[in-house]
This record gives sequence, structure tokens and C-alpha cells, in this order.
Amino acid sequence: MTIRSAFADASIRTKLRILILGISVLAVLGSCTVFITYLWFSTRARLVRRQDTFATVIADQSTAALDFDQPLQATALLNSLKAERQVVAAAIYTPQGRLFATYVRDGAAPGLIRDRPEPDGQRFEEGDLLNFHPIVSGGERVGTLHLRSDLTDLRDRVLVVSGTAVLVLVGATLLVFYLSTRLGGLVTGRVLQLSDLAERVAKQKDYSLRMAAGGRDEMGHLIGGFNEMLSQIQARDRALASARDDLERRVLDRTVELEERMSELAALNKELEGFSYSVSHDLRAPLRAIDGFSRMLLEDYGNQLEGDARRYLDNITSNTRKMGQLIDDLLSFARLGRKALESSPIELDQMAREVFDELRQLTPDRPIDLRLGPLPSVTGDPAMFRQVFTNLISNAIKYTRGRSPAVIEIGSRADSKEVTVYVRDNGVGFEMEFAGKLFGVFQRLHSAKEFEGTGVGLALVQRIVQRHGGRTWAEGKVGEGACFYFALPTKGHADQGKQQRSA
Amino acid sequence: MNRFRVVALVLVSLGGPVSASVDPVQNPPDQLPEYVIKAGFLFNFAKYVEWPGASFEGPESPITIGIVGADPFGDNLEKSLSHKTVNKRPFVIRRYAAPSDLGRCHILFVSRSEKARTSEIIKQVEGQPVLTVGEDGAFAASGGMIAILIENEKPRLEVNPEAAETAKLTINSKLLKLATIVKTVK
Repeated sequence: MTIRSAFADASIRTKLRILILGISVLAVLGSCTVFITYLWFSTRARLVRRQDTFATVIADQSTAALDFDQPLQATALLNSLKAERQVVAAAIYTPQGRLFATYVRDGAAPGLIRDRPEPDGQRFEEGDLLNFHPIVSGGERVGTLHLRSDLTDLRDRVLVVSGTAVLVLVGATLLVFYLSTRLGGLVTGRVLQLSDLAERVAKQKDYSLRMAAGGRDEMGHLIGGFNEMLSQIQARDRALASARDDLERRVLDRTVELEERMSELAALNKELEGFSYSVSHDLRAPLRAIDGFSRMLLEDYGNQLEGDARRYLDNITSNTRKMGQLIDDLLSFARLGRKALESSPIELDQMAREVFDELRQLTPDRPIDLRLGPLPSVTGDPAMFRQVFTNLISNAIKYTRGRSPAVIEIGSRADSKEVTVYVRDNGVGFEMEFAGKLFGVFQRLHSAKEFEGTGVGLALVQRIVQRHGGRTWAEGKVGEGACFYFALPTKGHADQGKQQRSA
Repeated sequence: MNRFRVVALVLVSLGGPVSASVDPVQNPPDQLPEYVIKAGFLFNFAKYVEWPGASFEGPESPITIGIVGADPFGDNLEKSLSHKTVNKRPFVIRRYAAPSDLGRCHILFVSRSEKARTSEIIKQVEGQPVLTVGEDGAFAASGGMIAILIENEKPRLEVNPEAAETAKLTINSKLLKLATIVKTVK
């Protein structure tokens, strides 16, 4: 984490404290630096001036000693420099550059004195201030005065001031820390309270919390705005809750209503099934009477009837038979909805072969080429599957009438989800746009005169396959033949398919 | 060859006053010939003594140094003083063979040869603004103003401020400080 992001995450109280501390430390440091720098340069300048003043005075006092060759007098004069602690060494040179008199402060190294005078003037060398001052007597140069001052006094003074500055800095820091802790609450106290409240609201979702208003400053406005916002959220929350309750009640009402409708519908459906069964059943009794009496009339009085009358009677019996067939088919279709499914293993290729052989006997003189591929064994209701094959194969035989030879191909294919069985013929075929209508009850693409039948066969096939969890479809082309498919889910998918169906 | 000689002469004459301040290597200052030192002192006294204004004709009038008795300086005095000034005043040197010859001067050097006539000479210039300088141990005590003594090969000064005061001469305190103060013994 960088210092910047750490500062961004710190609380307002800490930020405020850091800012105040930083500014005060900078201010104290800045003023101390300025003061110490000023002190250093001003003291140094004063030292330079003071040393030169001393040099002027001593040079003036030492002229006679040089003029009259009195080195002892000169030495005594230099010794008076003892009072000036900053002077570490002093010397007087003759105009020839010979040492005339010397002075070394107690404890200072004697090597500090230069053997010969150097150019006049003041300069800092080796940390000391050196001065070479001319000694002039009566307008004539009679020698050179040399003073050497150290800067210990200056350094001591700067050290003392620096120490004081550090003490002031520490003191100021402590004071600022104490004051910001004590007085910072005036500014940050309510900010922290507001922050706490916001956190509590966010955590507890309790929008009834409010903060005591107060003050006309920005914080007062902020608290007012926050309270106002909470009130609005509370109102909206209440409205939302009541709307949700209302919606739930309505959904519940609708569900109850729908369930009632559903059970009503189921009852109605049951009633309808019962009705159609009893209708079909009850229709058979009078039909059987009509058929029976018509036959008796033909057998007993056939010879006495005229040509037309006999033909009418034949019409009555044949239509009666047709109606009987219709009623039988309707009955078996209706029964499918009521009958419980048996479940046992079935060898489909064996069953297909048997059904074909049975149906083949009805038209022994037609050339029919059966190509029976391997078929899977499935689990289901054997009687129903026999019905499926009967309907599909009889259709194939029926619609290949006139083909020589008629080719009927029965085969299968399988994938991971389902096994598909197909019955293909080279008969009259159909137009693909009617493929969906083929499996409807009483739906026919050809008239009964062309191809006999009631239009229930394919509907039965679909009903049976669907009850086993499968599906049916057909492909065809006019004049080229048709192919009917039924697919059953494989073991793993069987239950799923049934459930889908029953749902 | 002639030409070279002329150049050499010029060089020598130019170097004249310079050689007066003596080569320190061959002749260290504390071992300077006695009268070289004394000649220098005579010049220096002019810096530390104030004469009354009336004793000069003008602000740049020369300071006259008189020597009474046998001249011990040879040409040292000329060498020390030629081209030199004190407060813009040049120097003039007068030599008086006997006290009776004395004329107007500002500094009067009393030679050792006049030791016996010292009092007479002092009396002769009494009341005049003349700085009397001697080289005898009894000179200051007998009313002379400054005595230059050589002790242990080092110069020492004796000053009689009383005598100077009587002559209306002011001796600078710096000079008084390093000299031995002597009173006139009556």
C-alpha cells in the first residue's frame, strides 16, 4: 500500500491531525532554518568586523615597538589579546618579513603561526579566520600584524540555537498533538458520528435512524440532508414492501383459481372420455341390430327382392360394417387413454416379421419385397406395439398397391438418447406440407374410395408411442413413397420422456 | 666598456637608499651597526614628537637635524634620511663642530665627543623647541630629552618628559610607554 492510498484510507481525524502536525513542523523547521542561517552569517560578519577592529587598534599600538626595535613591548601588547578568547594566535612581522613578536592562546598549538607574512586582508582558512594587517607609522609601513581567530564561539552559539530549535520542535509537536486531540473533536466529532450512523443504516437496513440536527455550518447541512434522505428511503421502502405483499396475495389468488380450473378441466376430460366410450359402446347395439336384420332380410327374402332393392340392402350392410369398424377404432382409441400400460421386453424384429406375415396372407398374389433390418429389443406393452406395427405395415401394403414389386423396408438406428424405427415404402407418398396432419384422428389425405380406412390408424400409433415416452414423424414425396418413424427413449432417458408426456 | 660602467653606476646610485635598510641575511637587524640603528631612530623620533607650529616656516618646511661634535654616523644618516619625509616634511642635516657653532635646528644629536660639555649644550638650547638626543647614560638625567643606549647589543631609550615639556615639545605616549622615564637631577 502506498503512503498516498494509506493517507486516503485514514479517518478524517487522523488526516486533520497529520495536516496540522505537518504544517506546524514545517513552519517551525522553516523559521529555525532561516534563523540559524541568519545567525550564522550575521555572527560571522560580526566576527570579521570585530577582528579587523582589533587588528587596527593593535597595529596602531605596535608602531613604536617596531620603530624603536622593542620586541618585548610588542609581545606584551600581543599578550593583551588573552582577553579576546576567539584569537588563537597573533604575530608581528618586520617589513623584512621576520617574526618580531608572537602570541599563542593557552593550550593552542604553536604551529598556528605562519613563518612569514601573507598578503594583507582577511580570509577563512582551515576553519579559522586569518587577518594580515599592515602596521603603518608616519605614512611608512613598518611591519605586518597577523591575527588568527577560531570559530568555536560561533559554532557553540549555532549549536545552542539548534538545540533550542529541536526542543521547540518537539514541544510544538506535542502541543499540536494534544490540541488536535482535544479540539479536533469540535470538527471531526460530528463527521465521525455521521459516518457511524451511515454504517449502522447500511448494516441493519434500519431507515428509521436519525441524527440529531445542529449547527448552521456545512456539517449541519450535511446532517439535515442525510436525515431527509433517510426519510425518503424509509417512505419508499414502505411503499415497496406493501406493493410486494399485494403482489404475493394476487399470485396466491390466481394460483388457487388456476388449480380450481385445472381440476374442473380434468373432471370434464374424464367425463368426455367416459361419454365417448359409452356413446361408441351404445352405438354398437343398435348397429348390430341393423346389420343382423339386414342379413336376415337378404338371406330369407333375397330371391323375392327386385334388383334395386337388393342393391340398397347390400349398401346398408356394407355401410353398417364400415360404421362398426369406425366405432371399433374409436373405442380402441378411447380405451388407450384409460388402459394401464403393461411393461415387458419385446423383440421388435420378431414382432415385425410376424405382423408382416399375417398381413401378407390377405393379398397373397401381390409381389411384395420386404427388407427387414435388425431391430432393437425394447421394453413396453406388447399388444400395443403389435398394433403399431400392424397399422404401419398395413398402411405400407395399402399405399403400394399397383407397385410391382412393392418394396417395404423396416430398419432402425440408435444414438445415445433414443432408438428410431422406420417403415419405408415406395407407394404413392404425400406432400410434405401435410406431414403434420397425418397423425390426427380422422385426418386423411386420400379418399376412402381410393384407399379404404377410417383415419384412426396413425393417430393410434402416435398415441401409443407417446404413452411410451417417444415421438413420431413422417417423410414423403408424392409418387415416390413415404417413411414413418417412431423413436423411443433409451433406458436412461425413458423415465424422463414419460414424465414429460404425463406432465 | 665605458657604457657598462655608466649603467653600473646608475644601478649603484639607485640601490643606495635600499641598501641602507640592510640585507637581513648578511647583517641580521639585531646586529646592525650601532649608527645605522641610531640614524633610523633619529628619523623615527620625528614621528613621535610634535614641535610647536611656529618652529617651522611652512607646512612642508624641512625638519633640521643637527649633529654637534665628532660625527659618528659617516654617511649612514644621509642614507637613512634622503628622500624620506615625515608629515610631508623632508630632512636637512647640519653638522656643528663645536657648541659655539650651534644654529637653528629641530633635533640636536649630541655626540659622545661632547660628553663633557653636555650641560653647556643643553643650557644653550634651553627654552627653544629643540629635541635633544644623546647617547650617554647620564644624558637624560642632566636635562637631555632622549638618550639612546645600547645594552647587551640591544637598544634602550631613556626619556625626560619634563625637559621636553619645558621646550614645548609633545612626546607621543607610545614612545613614552616603551622608554625609561628619567627626571633631571639638579
